[in-house]
Amino acid sequence: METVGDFVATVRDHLQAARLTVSFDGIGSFDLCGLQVLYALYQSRVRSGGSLQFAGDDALQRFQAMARFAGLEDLQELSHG
Amino acid sequence: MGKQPDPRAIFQEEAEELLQLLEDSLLVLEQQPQSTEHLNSAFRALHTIKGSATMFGLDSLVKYAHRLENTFVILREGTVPVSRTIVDHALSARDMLVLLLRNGAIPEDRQDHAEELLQSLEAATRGTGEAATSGSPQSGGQDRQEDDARHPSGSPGAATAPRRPHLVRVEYRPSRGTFLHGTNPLSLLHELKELGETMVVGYSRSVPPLEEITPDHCFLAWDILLTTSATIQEVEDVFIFIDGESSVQVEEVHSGEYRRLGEILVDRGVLDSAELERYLADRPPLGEVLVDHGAVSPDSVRSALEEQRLLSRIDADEANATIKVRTGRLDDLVSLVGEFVSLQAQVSLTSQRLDDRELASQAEQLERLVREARDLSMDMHMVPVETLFAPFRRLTREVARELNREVSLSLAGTETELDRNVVEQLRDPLLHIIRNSLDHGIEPPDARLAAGKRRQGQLVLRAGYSGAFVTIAIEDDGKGIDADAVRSKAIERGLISPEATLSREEIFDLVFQPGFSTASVATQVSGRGVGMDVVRRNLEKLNGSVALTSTAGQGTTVLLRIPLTLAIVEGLLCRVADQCFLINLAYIRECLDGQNVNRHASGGFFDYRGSVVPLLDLASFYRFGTTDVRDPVVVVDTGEQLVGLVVREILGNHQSVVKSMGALLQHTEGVSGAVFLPDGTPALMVDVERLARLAMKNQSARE
Repeated sequence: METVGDFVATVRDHLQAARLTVSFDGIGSFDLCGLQVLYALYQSRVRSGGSLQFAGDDALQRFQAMARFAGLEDLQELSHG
Repeated sequence: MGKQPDPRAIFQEEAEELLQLLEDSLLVLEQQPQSTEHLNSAFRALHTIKGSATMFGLDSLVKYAHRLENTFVILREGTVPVSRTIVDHALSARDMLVLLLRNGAIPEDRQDHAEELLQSLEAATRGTGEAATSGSPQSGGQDRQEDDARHPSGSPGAATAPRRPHLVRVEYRPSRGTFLHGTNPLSLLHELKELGETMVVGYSRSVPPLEEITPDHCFLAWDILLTTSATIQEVEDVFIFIDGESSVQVEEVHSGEYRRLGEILVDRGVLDSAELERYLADRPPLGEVLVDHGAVSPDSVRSALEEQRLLSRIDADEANATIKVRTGRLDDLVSLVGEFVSLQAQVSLTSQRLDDRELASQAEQLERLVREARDLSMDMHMVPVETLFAPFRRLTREVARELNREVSLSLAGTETELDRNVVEQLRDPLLHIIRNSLDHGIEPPDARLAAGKRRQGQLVLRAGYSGAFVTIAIEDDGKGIDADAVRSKAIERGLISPEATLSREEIFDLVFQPGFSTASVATQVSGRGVGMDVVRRNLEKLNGSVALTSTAGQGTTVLLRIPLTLAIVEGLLCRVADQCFLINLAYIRECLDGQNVNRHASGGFFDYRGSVVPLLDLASFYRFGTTDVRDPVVVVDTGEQLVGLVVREILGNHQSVVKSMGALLQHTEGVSGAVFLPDGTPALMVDVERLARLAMKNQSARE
């Protein structure tokens, strides 16, 4: 996954799966645009009853730090639904 | 335990203060119509009065304040300029609020007027009334001053003094194309964090599901609560490069008012008040109810709750810094400390009599503690002169209009502190003097122009310290007082004989004689010449003095001199015949050994540092016989006059609570009060000001 667009395209293909795990392993840099996509993913999955898990500790921590800085809801809470 | 303060009384007191603040803000707005700081201040005062009055069920007050507040809501939007007419009507409407607060109702004969005021304000702020278009003479575009808070320091119109940290709410709503425009909202949040402490609430609920999202569009939004010393303009500058589709609102959040969650949401426009009323019936917790009903998003509630939390924290900090105490309790405390002072003096005396070293050491410690307690309690009794001066802004404006004068009032030294009780007693004298200045001093605009002066007269109230006294000068640049006219009038009134030789100071002093007036026509404003003698009498009651200087054509200055405090006096205890007298230390310049004093043959003067100074034998003055030429002389200085007071013996320093003389003895000449000595015997306070004036008269007569 090189761009946020690529990421969105890939995940869209798996949206119908009952259980979806998004791995951040291998992601080098990310921005607010990428973070926003995670919230979009949350809207699609958790609100419709499906479960969502994030994997990849290091990158996840960095995403969480960015969310806290931007005053957005905690990603960990989102992933638990 | 003392009685619990009555919440209603506290509300009344606070509302009075807020109404004064409203008046002050309106008067500034009249001069600076574009000052959003004062517009906001007026709005907040009204908003708080209304909110507090609701708690006490003062429906009429709430309704009137609410309608008046509505006009300020519109003015704050900036679409209607603040005009002189709007200020006029708002000031009058504010007076109606005073009536509602104090009496619970507007008198029947003024109710129509009260309603008309609101209607004309409503019309003016709708832009349909004449007020909306009629700017004040001072409101012309070029002269308008920008609001301090909107400018960074150093730029034109900026507030030069550093601002105290204040709470600012930033509502940042990036456009969809924000990312494409190259703006990174996180960088802006970083910049805000550099300005102070931030509390950021991000809104992610508008982010669409993944199936629908356009990844490079921005669907996030933010509320940022910023505690900062930066100006509003400096905060706005952070967003200077955002695209035109994005929106930013930066607004100061007042910390002095407690705001409920619903109020914050309504103010922010995310909920309308009717909706709020409806949901309030469902009761707590409001945030949950609103979210459950889909009225607002959880993010909105989260953001509003954070604001509420921050405000309550700031309020709590402020509450820790100051506490309100009923003035009666403060008086009791000062009086109690005064009794301690007397008791401590008795203990010191006892320790000396018993010659007990241990007791003497304890008495010394006690003395130190009592002195500290005295200073502290006196400090608590002091209020800034600003509280005395502030109401005169409005009064000057009204009286000047009534008399067709144009006057600018300046206040100086307003941080000078005075005993609260003194302030109360200075209001009427100051009122008289200001009215006189406006009526007899400052000329009508045409006359001023003809005299080569600026059209607008200047009136200055200036306070300052002078030793143990506070001075208050009332200065005007009017036509001054014609000394010859005063003299002629005094002769006409039989106050002086045509042959009397008077110095310029003595002539001006005649103005303070009962019934004296040089005005050919007595007006409703300055009265009928009964004012200035009352002014002097009131000042003398405070152990103070009043003097007047004037230059024809240039103006007049009336100078009041008042002791810092009335409560406890430190004085020099002296014996005159077999009676004890106390002379206020604040007046004493030095004590001289009688044998070294070079008295003139007449006995009424002595040489003092190259000058001839009047000498007053207190024993003879108080009719206790006469004193010996070897008796000591206490040299006192009133600031205008030096006098030597001959006493039999100097006993030492003594501090005590001064008691009034009571009805029978209050007119005793040369005595301003009494104190009790440690052994319970009374001593009389020498009225130095009075004696100095008598000495001055004697001196003039002899010259």
